[in-house]
Amino acid sequence: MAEIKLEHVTKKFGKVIAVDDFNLTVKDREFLTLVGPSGCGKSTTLNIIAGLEDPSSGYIYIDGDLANVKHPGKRNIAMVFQSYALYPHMNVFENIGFGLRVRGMKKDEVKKRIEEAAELLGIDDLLDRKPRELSGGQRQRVALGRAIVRDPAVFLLDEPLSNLDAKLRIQMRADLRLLFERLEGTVVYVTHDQAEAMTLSDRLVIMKDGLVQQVGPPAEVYDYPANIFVGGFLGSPTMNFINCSLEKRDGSGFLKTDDFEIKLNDKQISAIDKTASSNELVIGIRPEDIRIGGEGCTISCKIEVIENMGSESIYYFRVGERRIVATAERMDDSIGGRQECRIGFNMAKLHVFDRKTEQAAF
Amino acid sequence: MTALKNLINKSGEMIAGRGGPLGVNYSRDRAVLWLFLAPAIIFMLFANVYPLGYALVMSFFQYNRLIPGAVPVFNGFQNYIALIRDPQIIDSFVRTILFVAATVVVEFLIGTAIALLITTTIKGMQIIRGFFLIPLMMPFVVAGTLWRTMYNALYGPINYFISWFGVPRLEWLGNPDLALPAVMITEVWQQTPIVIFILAAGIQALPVDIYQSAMVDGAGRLQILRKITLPLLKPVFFVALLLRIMDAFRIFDTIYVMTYGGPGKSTEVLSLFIYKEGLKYFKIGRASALSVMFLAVVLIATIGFLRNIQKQQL
Amino acid sequence: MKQGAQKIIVYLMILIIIAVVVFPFYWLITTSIKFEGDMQTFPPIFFPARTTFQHYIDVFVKSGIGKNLRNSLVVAVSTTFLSVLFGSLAAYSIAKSYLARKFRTGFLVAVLVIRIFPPVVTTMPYFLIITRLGLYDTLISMIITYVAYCLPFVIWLMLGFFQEMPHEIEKASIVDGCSVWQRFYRISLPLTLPGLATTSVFCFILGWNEFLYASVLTSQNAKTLPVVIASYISDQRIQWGPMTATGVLLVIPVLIFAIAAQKYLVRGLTFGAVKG
Repeated sequence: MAEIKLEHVTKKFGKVIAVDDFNLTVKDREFLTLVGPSGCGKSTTLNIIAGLEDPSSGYIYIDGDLANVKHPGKRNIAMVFQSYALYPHMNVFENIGFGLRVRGMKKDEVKKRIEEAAELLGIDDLLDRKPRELSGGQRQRVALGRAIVRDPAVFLLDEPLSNLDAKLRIQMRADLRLLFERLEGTVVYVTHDQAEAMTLSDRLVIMKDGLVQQVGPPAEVYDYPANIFVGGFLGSPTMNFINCSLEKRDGSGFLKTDDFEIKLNDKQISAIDKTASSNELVIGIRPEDIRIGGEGCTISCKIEVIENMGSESIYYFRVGERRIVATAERMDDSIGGRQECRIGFNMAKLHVFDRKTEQAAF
Repeated sequence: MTALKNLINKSGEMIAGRGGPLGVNYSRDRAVLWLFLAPAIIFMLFANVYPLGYALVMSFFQYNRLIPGAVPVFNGFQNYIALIRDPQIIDSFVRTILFVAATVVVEFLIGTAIALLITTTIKGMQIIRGFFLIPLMMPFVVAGTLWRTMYNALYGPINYFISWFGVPRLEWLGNPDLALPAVMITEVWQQTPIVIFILAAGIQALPVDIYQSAMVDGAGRLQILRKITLPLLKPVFFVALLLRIMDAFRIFDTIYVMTYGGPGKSTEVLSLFIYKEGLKYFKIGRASALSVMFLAVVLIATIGFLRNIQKQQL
Repeated sequence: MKQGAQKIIVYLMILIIIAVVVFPFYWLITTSIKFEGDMQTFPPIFFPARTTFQHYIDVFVKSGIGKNLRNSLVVAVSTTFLSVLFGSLAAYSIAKSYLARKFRTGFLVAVLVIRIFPPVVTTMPYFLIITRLGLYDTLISMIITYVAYCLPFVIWLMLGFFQEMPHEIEKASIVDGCSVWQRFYRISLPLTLPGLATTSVFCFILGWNEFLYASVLTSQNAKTLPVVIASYISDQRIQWGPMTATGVLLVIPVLIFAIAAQKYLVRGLTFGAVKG
């Protein structure tokens, strides 16, 4: 069983707290992603799991054993780095086999494993080339090969796709997912790209400034963000945030903004009452959950820009002082070219956050 | 679980990781790294630290090994006081500083000019560089003896060449007024190449786009030289200057074979003086004190200069 | 037309400069093959009509320079090997900064100071130490001396190279299971080959050319070539023939080596002066 457990792991660099009381159990064979903006502590956490950094406090268990004092080479892990970190003076064959040779594995066994991995990754024709002769994508696969061939309990990947160009990145996402499903290993993956995190993972850990914001499967964290940061981090184009305040009158609750108001149902009102610290709130609504024109649209706005992306269109509306972004199927003449129109929010997908604590009410 | 015990100190707190940039704190790794350092430390202690310490200590003693049955006798700062009062010493100091200053200045004037010259042509850098390596790589003793033959008053080529300009034959190494300049010329011949190399490397590392934009702006070649090239070369200049000053103080071999300090005392720089005191007359105490003073001067000059550069660059 | 003329002037100037630079060397070589009678003439003979290799033969046969040549070679090669080895190890250790910051800075400062101070300062105490240990006039004492002398150079240079190495490659080798020695030997060293080449060239030249310590610490057995040359100068007479012949023997190997390894040599010389 290759389970990873992190208990109260904290890392400080002088006065800066890079990782703050990180607690997590990564299940066996789970594909877990640490995602967040630069500097949030995700790479540091990965390095701590690997043993390349010591935690300032806290315990790490790999496969049930306490790993804190174990050398990275003895933790039964393999790692893929952002820059691939291939050994420039060795060819592909030697690069992949290096970890095995260092551990004293016999030459024939090493050769067999390298060839298997190379075939799996489609690089078996590159075995005698040096890293500088390879393209970015090829180097990345060599780095993967080096990790796979060790047959470790845990795979650690530190932004492996970040150095590839956009198209290749998207292509590799699917390949990676398939690869690790096939290998049945436990994977801890680090990235700043939320789309990558969403498509690859069984579970996401969203981090900011060293603190865990939310943990959960992609669908869950997407549909039920725990706070404003998570809501705004996942999803593209970004979630719309609108300041509002709660007003109760005539026995019902309303969210009131400068330009419009929305009526809430009882369940929503009680959720707000339970969690909010005041009546100052923030509405969160994703661009794809905004209806344009049609029945039930009560918010009047002006169209600023329409971006036709090919498969869909992005609409930039102006509502009072602020801008709201919506996406919809591309319809070249959906609004009939009018400047003014009405939009409405899908109430089932509405989110409300406390303005001060930034926590979600729902 | 013994592993757990290692992580927690007596009051139950976690022992924080104390790693470097790779953050690894494994005791066996650290032991190996100390082992890596050990040979170097041993050598340095043996050949540098200990002798230096010995010299420092001995500088406070009176000890003349030529006298049979001599033992070191403590005499406090007397050696230092005697040296400071000794006009010979002061002369030697002055001579040394003069030597360093004059050679460095000339080396830089000539070196800069040549560096600028050779970086204007692109072809054949390798070959040109090869030629400039000759004086630099030549052992000091060979250069010294070689120039000694060249300076020969009767048969040497130097006197022959200056006769073309109507200058009468000079007694280069025999004339107390000419000996030091003669040695300086040799030193300049030997060491200018390194100034050239450093400056040339610096010039070649300058960004091209600045020149392009200056030319578009209509700047003339002299202007570019004065206002762009030279100011940008300042950091390189200082490093080269530091290097040369440091090494100029080390002059010994050349003078030893060319003049051995003579005629009279006209080329007796400090290093030669210390050599004679310590290894010819075996006046250990005095030589040690002089060594310490010499070292202090060099260190102050070099480190003071270093600090100056650092401040300038900030 | 103006451009062309300018170029010619530049080349001409360079030619003149090179002539000045090379002339002493030319003089050395020609003198070493002149007949005794042709040496002391005025005007000096620049293009000897008749040449002889007698001086070279004398030097080997009469003065037995073969032994000194061998000494120089042994000392230079051993010095190079040991300095580069120990220096790289030390530089690696410092670069990986596993040690306390204070110690690191202290060590580097010590290295710098040793680099700065003139060798004369420690010659005399060192001489006493060596004689007391019974190592006077041995090759071992020379090698030890020169290694200690070269170490600051090697450490300084290799330190820069090791620091330039990307961190992630080291991390990869750690995860691959390398111990420190394996990391050093299999990954860091191969990647800093240019640095090793540069320091090797340096150390060899230093070991080959050095005079002061060689003259102080050796006598009959371990005498190296530089000392031999100096011995040709006495107060009465300079034996120009043997002296220049020995000089040529001393210079040629170093020069060939230096020109062959030009790239590395210049890099080492200018190291730190120019970044990048």
